[in-house]
Amino acid sequence: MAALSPEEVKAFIIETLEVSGASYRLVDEALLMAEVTVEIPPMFFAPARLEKQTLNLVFTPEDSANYPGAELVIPGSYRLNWFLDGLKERGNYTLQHFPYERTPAETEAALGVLCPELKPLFPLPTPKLQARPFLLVHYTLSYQTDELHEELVSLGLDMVNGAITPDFLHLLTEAEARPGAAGTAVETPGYSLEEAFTLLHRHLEQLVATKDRRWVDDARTRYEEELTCLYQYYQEDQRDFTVFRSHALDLYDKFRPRVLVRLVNVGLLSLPVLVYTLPATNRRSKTVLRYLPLLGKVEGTGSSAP
Amino acid sequence: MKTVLTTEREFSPRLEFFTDPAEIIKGIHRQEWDSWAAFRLRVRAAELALFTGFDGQLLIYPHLQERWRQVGLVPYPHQEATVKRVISELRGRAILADEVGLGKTIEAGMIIKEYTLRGLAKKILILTPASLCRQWAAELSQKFALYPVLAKGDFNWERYDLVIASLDLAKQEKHRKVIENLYYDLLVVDEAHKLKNPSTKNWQLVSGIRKKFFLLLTATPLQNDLKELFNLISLLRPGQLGSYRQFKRNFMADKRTAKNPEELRSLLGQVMIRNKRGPQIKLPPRKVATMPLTPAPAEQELYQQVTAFVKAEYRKGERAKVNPLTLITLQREVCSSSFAAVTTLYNLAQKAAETDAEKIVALMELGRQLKENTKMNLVEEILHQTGDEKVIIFTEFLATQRYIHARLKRNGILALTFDGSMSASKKDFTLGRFRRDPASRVLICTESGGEGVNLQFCRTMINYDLPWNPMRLEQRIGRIHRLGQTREVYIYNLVTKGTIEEHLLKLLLEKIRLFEMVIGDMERIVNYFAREKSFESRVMGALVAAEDEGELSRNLERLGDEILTRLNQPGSLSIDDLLTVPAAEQGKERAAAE
Repeated sequence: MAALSPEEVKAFIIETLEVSGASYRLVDEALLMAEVTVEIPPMFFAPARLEKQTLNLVFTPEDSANYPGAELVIPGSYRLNWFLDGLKERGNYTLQHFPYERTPAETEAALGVLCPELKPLFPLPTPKLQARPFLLVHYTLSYQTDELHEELVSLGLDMVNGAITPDFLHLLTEAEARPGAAGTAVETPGYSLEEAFTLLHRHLEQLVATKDRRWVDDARTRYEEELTCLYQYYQEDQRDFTVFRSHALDLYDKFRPRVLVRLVNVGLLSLPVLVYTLPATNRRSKTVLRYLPLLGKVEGTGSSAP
Repeated sequence: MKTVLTTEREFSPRLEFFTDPAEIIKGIHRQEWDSWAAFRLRVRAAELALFTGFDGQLLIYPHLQERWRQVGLVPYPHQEATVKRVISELRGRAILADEVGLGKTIEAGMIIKEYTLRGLAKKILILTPASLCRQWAAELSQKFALYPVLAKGDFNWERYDLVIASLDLAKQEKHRKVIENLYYDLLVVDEAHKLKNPSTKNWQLVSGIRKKFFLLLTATPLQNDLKELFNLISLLRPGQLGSYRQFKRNFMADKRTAKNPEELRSLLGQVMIRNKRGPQIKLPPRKVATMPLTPAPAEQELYQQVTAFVKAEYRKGERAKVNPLTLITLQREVCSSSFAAVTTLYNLAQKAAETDAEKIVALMELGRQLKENTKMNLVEEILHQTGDEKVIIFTEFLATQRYIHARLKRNGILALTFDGSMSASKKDFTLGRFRRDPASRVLICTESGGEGVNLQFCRTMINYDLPWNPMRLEQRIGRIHRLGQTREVYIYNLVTKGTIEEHLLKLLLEKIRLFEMVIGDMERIVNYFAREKSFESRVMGALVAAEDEGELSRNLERLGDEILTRLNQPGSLSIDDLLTVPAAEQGKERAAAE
């Protein structure tokens, strides 16, 4: 489980309470009181019901000593896991668009940094604002042998050209999202959702294939040690070969490397695209530039428009 | 072996997708959109819940802190060290061989929970003796927030992930077939000393279960001979000690004497963890009081007549009409109470020929005339002195238990009985009542009832009668003198003057200083007697061979000398000898390490 500072845990809990609409109060720097709704499972003749409970939460062992009876919420604690579990019901699908509200000067300044060769063409003609559909998908990858190591993968798939951008959510940290589809013209997707997931799965396979193989090699070494040990026991009696084989298969099951891929959530996003049509000059024909400001990406430089 | 070594391709990581894209697409089409904040928070939650490998920090501590605070559990350093070692060094496969009372179950519970929290174990099977199933379930639920299902009847093994079953149930053909077809992430076997013979159904069942992680729990991994130790280790990790032929060649001087101790110790240390009492793991002191009492003339008469009968029958050897074990039992019973002896005498009279029956009936009648037992006066005195303290009275016999119960009831003392014949739920109820109900001051326990139960909330024990096996006496005391006990422990041994109990206690207490011994020494004694003649048989032999008390005393004195010689002799068999670096070599090892 990720190491988190007490401040980070507290921030996470507060954010969770806000998203779930639960009321809370910071009594002081240490103590957080929250009123949450808890599902009480059915017991004997009483049906399942929802009940309000007040939680008194602190985030450091020192504060726990000062507030007897308050729950200490730290990484791995029951209460933090309870919040984490509860969140599995939320945020599974989202539909968002990202408005673009920068001035032309700000835009050109950013473009100039990205493509200095464009600077001589400034000021550029007024661009056309469009939206490009992206599929943002999060997966957890569990690298499992006799050990377990997990990572979270954030992939943004450009539905127009199929390009996949890793760590996609991070690129959108500062951006302002608005619910629903974009009001502007949306570029025509080049891929269906089925095709998009095929591309994402292929990307994950590639990712695993190119990952540092130590986790596999170490497990294989351990497996072979175990197998050699097992063989020592059975080597003298060929009659037991079936039993040996069965134990060996169990060992293989224990150590064989598997990557379990679990989907966390899916977002359909419309990201702004500024489409510039640059006039033809004596050195180049008419050019169409597509600038995706949130991704810091320019397409079409050097290419000619039809 | 080539045929089973995997190829490169078989050891290439395979991706297993747990979510069908079609389902996701359906979800998208439902258009049940959540906010951007919820979406991001969901990602953050997934990130926080990731397992990032074992970095030496146990997840159970933060996870269970609240629960442990409520139930008052603070794991001991040796327990934490054991859990870490099992998970990181021993790859989840170990024999937990702590001495009695040092918390093997807690260690196992911590390991189970840790693996569960790490996402490495989901399907878990715990095999225990039937009498301990419910105690395991209670420990796991109260201390570890794990809620196992107890297997019974036509159990659906596939359906439940965390199951506790008795070995006896699991090895039944219909269950065994199903269990062996399942794959368990973790298998735990308690009282694993019952798994020392590969030709038994127990051993074969446990060996046949497919498992990833594997724990065997026993305080006595070595009892009779080295082959049993080999079998136990090979069950856990076949090949750890090589094949049996290799093991014999490399490590056995004879059945009970090990050779190449350093190498053997190192191999055992790779799969076995044994914590012992010592400077690091201390229990509160125990005070042992011998309470001699003079029997009433009628009691003495009964004792002497029964003893004379037992001696006469025993001396007949093969010609005896009564089984020697029954005679030993009768002798022990008459030491306990007339009520216990009368039951056996009645049974003997039913089976005996007419002439013998008359003699036995006469003894029985003598016993039936006794309506009280002098020991009870002393019990009441102790109860009076101990004020409100909870007290456990141990007896070996049900008839004695019933008498004690009736007598206490008559005197207005509320006592509860606890024995092996009770159902598991009744046992639970009784223990819970004894623990919580202030009015229930006394628990009268038989040996079989008390096996494995934890009563450390209580600190006073009365041994109404004395088991003739020193390990059983230690097992009794282990019920209260164990981790979790915070107060000084008081043991009262009631001894009737002029009986074999008096001499036996002298032997155990004064001669071999039983209560000051470490468990390993006691094991050595029991192991020695297991291969020669049982301790009980030797005591009985000493009694039968004696014409009078003086001779009996001398006979038992000689038995004590024999025990002490054994204890001081090198090569006597004990797991601690095999696991501990001798003091003389410790310096050398340290120097080599430096």
